[in-house]
Amino acid sequence: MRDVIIVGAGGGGAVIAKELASRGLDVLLLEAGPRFAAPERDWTHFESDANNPASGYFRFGPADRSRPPWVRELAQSSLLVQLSGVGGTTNHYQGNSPRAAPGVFTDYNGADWNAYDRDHLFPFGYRELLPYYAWVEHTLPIETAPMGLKEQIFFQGAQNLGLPVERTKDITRAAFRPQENAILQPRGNAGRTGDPHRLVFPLAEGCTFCGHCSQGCFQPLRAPINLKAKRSTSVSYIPMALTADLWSRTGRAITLISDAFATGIGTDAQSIARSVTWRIGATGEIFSEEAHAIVLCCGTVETPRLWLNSGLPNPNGWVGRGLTDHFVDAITGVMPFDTASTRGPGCGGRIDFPGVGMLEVVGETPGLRAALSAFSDAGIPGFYDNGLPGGGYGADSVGRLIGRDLKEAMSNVDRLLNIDVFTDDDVEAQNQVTLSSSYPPDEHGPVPRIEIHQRNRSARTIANREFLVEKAVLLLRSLGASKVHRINKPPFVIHSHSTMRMGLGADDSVLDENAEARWVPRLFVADNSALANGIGGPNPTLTTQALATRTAEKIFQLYFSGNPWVGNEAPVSSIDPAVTQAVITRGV
Amino acid sequence: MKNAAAKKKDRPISVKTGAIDDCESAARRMSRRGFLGNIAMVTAALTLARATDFLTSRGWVQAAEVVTTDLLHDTFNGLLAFIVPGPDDYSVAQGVSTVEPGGVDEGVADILIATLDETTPFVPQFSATVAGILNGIALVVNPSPPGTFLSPFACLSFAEKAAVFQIMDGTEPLKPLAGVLPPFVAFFCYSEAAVFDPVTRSLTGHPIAWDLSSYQGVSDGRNEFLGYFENRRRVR
Repeated sequence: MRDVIIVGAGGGGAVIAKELASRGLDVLLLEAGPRFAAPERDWTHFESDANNPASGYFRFGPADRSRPPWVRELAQSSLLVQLSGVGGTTNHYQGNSPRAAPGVFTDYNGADWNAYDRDHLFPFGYRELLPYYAWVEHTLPIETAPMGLKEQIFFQGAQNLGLPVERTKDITRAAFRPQENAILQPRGNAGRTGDPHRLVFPLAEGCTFCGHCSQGCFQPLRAPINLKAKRSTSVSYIPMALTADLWSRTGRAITLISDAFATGIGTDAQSIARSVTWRIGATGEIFSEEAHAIVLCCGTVETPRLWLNSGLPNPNGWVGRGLTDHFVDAITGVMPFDTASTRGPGCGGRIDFPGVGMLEVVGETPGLRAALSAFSDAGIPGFYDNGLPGGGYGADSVGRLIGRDLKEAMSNVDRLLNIDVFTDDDVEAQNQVTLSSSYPPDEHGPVPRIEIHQRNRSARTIANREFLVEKAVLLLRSLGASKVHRINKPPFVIHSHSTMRMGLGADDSVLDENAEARWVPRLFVADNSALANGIGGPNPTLTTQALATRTAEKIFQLYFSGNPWVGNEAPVSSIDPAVTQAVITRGV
Repeated sequence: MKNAAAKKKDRPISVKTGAIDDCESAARRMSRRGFLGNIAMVTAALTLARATDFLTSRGWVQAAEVVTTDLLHDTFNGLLAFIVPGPDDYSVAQGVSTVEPGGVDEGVADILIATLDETTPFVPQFSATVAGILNGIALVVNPSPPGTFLSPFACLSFAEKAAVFQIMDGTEPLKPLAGVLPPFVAFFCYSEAAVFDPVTRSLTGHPIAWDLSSYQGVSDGRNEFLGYFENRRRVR
């Protein structure tokens, strides 16, 4: 019997694994997708290799790329941006690690307290989470982003709107700021040359400004895995978990099994979680093990799917409900000057509007940029609006860019300034993950169905998004954009949360204040689905990781008679020389 | 003359979104097109298959079986020209063409077809089903499209192709497909897909897409570091 079995090695599961490994527990970590043990070998810079939704290495599918991806039913026009594999979606994220808006917690008493989704707050205060934020920020580490050209331009635009700069990690007011990113600072030749011979570690350290965040970061070349620039959990928390016995006096290395898709959670007669069953993709073999505690970290879609496929209780019907996705939109400005849109970190700047959401300046490689420009709910400009008239706020077009419009906009991808809109959206029961009744089951059971009622969102959610869109258009116009395009996206689920939400009340939540399942003792959730809400619009990864750290402490206290460590000990950074030595020694 | 014709064809046309009765009526007129006989059922149903039994019950599987390879390529070349036009015959035929290369010139139809099939593994030849939908609705929009292409969709003007998407966007079961087709096509046209060798995981030539987008190409690093805002490297 294991001490703890964790299902899913992404942004949350890897954190729980490392924290409990450092306490000396016997941890088994299961991951459905590939291992990604050697990024320089496993990844390239090519979009076709990485981002092809069917066969790319960043797809949601098995390790064997000759086999088809795993299927989900999308009930509407939408894209679900998730991937399988150790590191999960942090492998293709842009490292953005903002803290949540304080207004989505119980202890907030600011003048704008009523601007938030007060019906679905976190079941504890923001101040309680602060030490866990600090712990993760030191561990990864998270630092203030440097500027490339697109950030410089974006900050000028924010100042044109009369916005001040934020100089704390917390969100305190409407303001712009360099991102707090989980990306190591450029040192040596990094960010100062394109010559690959001069970009080899240790001549170059940290971010090399290659512009390939979405294809996976393996820079600088020849760096030990824990010193790769972008702090995906596959290069930070996972190497620490695999070497915990070497860098921690109390540590014990975890057991990691990839290509292992969990298909069932077993309970005893008292509905206490006891075991996990999984299937090995390459062989089809089925395994099962017992544990004193089980943590689900499969993501906002697969965690409720596993719950439902396991026949676990769902007395209030909230398993899978309450999906928040930031009601994403995108505004693109065609600028009369270079923006370096494809060069440098994917996103180094943002504007917070507390109680409303967030704007981010983002850069992408041309294939992804063109795809995102052609993905709209508002028809084709000049032909039909698909029932969404207006809403341009002075933009030249609203809708998907195709034909000459797409070619014109894409004629110089480095003259685009792209602003993504992330809305502070309400938790709504209608937006949910269920089991599909029309798609056939796959080898892991009934497949999930994602249902999002894009045009029936709450009035507050819709108003928030429109406010942000108008600000983005104004910003681009203030900078002299020759054309501004609003895409008006269908559900573009790049941030997803709260489908297994923790909450104050038992009537509309699945998890209690410890992130333990209300109806299944010893079963915890520690991925984005555990979040109580959409955290106000900021990127969710850091908050999930801080919450996962807190949950690790709760597990250790509740079931292993341990003491909390955050606030009582100094965290060890994943780039600490002791960790580097441990990684080299073990050959991780 | 060419520009004038293009301008005329580029105008929006009137379409009754979701007018299933109209679609059925129009579909009945398609019998002379033997190669698309079963597509009438597809169009009448106006339903995107979500399961094999569902497909079969509506004749979509049978419809896919009668879509020949030439028709398949014709249809997707017509789609490539619609999303990313170039100087090719399909773009010229739709009345919207450009001097510089487009999706057809890149030759990514096969990759698009393969990807559609791979993303829906439980529907045999899903790409053929998609082609059937595009061609079936094309005949609703224009029962007698001019031109010599096998695919009715490829024979449509740009505005008529937009009308096909308007119907799909306005028809509940077809919305997911209408939503993802344009970004899929755009991705393959603007990435290195046309010259990417999945075996060696390297490029076999210079991507046209990089020229179309003035992209500098992939790199291990760039000389782009501009320091820190207000020279501030950390906040508390």
